[in-house]
Amino acid sequence: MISDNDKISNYQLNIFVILTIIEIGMAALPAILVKEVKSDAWILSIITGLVNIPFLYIVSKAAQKTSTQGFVGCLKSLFGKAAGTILAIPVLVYFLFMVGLESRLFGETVKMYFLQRTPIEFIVMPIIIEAVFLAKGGIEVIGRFFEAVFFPIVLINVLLILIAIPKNDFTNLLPVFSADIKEYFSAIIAGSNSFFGYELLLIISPYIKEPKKMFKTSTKALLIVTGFYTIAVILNLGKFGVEETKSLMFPVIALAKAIDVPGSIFERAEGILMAVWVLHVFTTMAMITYLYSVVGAEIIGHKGIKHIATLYIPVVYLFGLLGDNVAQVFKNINMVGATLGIYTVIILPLLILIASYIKNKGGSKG
Amino acid sequence: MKKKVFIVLLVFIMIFSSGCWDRVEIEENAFVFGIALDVNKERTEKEDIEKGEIKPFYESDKGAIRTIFTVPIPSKMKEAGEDAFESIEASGENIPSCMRVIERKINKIIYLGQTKMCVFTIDMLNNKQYFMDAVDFLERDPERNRNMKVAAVNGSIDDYIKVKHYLDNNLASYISGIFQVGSKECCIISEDLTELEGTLRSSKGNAVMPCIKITDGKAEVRDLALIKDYEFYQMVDQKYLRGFSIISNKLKKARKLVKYDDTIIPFYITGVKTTVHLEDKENLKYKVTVKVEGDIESFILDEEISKEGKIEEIKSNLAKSLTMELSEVMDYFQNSIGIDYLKIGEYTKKYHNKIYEKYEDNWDEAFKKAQFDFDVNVEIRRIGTIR
Repeated sequence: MISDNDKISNYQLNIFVILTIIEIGMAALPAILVKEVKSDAWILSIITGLVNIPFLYIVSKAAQKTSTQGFVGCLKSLFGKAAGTILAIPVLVYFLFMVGLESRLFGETVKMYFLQRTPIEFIVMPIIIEAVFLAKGGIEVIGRFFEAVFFPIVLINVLLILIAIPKNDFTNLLPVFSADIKEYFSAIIAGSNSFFGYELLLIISPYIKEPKKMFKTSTKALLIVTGFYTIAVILNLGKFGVEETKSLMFPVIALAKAIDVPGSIFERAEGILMAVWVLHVFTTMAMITYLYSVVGAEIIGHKGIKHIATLYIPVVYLFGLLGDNVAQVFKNINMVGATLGIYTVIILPLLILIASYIKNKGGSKG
Repeated sequence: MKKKVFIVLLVFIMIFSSGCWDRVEIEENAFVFGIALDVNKERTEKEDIEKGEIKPFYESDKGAIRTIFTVPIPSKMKEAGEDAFESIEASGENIPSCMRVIERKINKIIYLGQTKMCVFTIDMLNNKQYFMDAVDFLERDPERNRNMKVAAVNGSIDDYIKVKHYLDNNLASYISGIFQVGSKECCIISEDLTELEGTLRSSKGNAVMPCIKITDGKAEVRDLALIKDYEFYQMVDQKYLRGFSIISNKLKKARKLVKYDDTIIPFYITGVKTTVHLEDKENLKYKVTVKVEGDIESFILDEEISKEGKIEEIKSNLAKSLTMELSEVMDYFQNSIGIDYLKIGEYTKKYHNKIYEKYEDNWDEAFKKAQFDFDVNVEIRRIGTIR
């Protein structure tokens, strides 16, 4: 039985979706999109966000089914105990990979730009431990933390956007619709990874106060994220142009480094960016840590999530260490997104919907 | 209680077992203000490695390039003036190897995060490989300042570091200051590292770089170095720079002299807006509309400028003069240079992509044959305090 105090309001859900989706991958998103469709990248960012809405609909519909028995409970009741558990395992592995790779990418950017001499293990490990620490508090503590940091994050982001606007050449956004349809498709696939995160609905649905408004609220959040990503892509194109953006590893950080505010009120804006970046990464990691803990606990039938969250730290850390360099980490992220990500966001929710439809039909006939 | 002990223990373990790797005291850093890059003409040893061949490569202190880093001495910053800066020289195969050579000589860590100025000699620009290596390093290094100014030096770096710097105790900030002020007040073209990298990439190795000319130990920012396929191509004379800046929309403020009767009147351009429009898509005929506004700085002492028709006449003379100037600049770039440094191709690509795609493979030829029609509109906003 879930106490009323543990229920997530629509406002909190909005913040959950926004802060979980926006993650470190955004630093590389402009380069990924520009590489595929050149100056159309900003349009593609909007299209990719919109393309994700039907998938969000499927996820929220499936999440309504999981809201009574929980995610794994629902799978077990729909597919049987063994099959349900097997179907839940890839989701657990996906979340573990997500936290691991997120922490690694965070470590790589911090090491590259700020702490060159600090071993990456000492950058990655503390943030994993802190994420576990927050996740162990449960959904209510996460909700309060997210609410507390949301406004500072918004304020800093708005400030960064404002100071990044001057000296940009927005004609770099032209020509529009110059790429061919094949390139658009590959860009949507490549960029979709950055929009994943709304699959959290499948796990947290039992705590949502108004499950029927889940889709509407999450769509709003997804649109906010799309707008945010699009602004980032536009500013990068405006500052660097197509060829330069394409060649950069983390264009968003390079943009912050290139900000030259008239009158030198701000210098080295990447410091401000990194401050907000830590929060973005931490919120995403804490939420996904919570998600894997819930799935892990439900799979083995454990009541609390605290032990599971701690138990998987070595696994998360090991997944994070996969890949010898940043290029390989990106490859791993794409691979995980294209396999386990698609399974969690599209295939499994569809299976849940189909199975529950068949079960209901069978039940009504019987 | 157990939890508290555990947390305290954990904090202590983390502090004492790891510490802070990135702790660097401010005195330990050598903040490089300026970098000057030249080809090492005294190089005696040469490693001849054929493409693809792998063999042991031993770093030589007499490497292919020479670098001079201008570094301030913090303790002398307040009073010592020129003595507060040290010029440290090294040669190596590339910038990182020069840094290594320097770090063997000094007790500080080279830090490029505050670098204001990077200059390349013409010899350096003449060597495609060395120039590309240097730009790649500056772009790749996450620490370096993306907003550092870049320029070519018409002379050796030895002459450059000996240049007399007026009203400033440091050469790098003196030269970068000329660019900063000059780009706002007169038609000095200022280029920073981000712009250079962007142009080199988008124009497939073509870019422009402002030039520092050294004569008798004095520096003057004049002329423009053109880079073609990552190599020095040609120098553009100062007289074309105002027109170049107007057409490529880079001009902020400048002065222009105009003839009125027998007098030469100075006109201070305070704002310019240039728009290019492709009028005839078949024959690539462009119309370049230039809107100029500014102030009259002096006139004839015993004549009243505000009398009817006078301002109109000056405006008309200015428009005619500017039209001729811009046509000459365009003609120079089309026929003498033969490469589109004026970014007409970029405009065509952005606004008429299908047309651009037709000529993409050989755009410079299309640029040479294109026709340009100038429409200059001048507005005189202020005439000073005398009627």
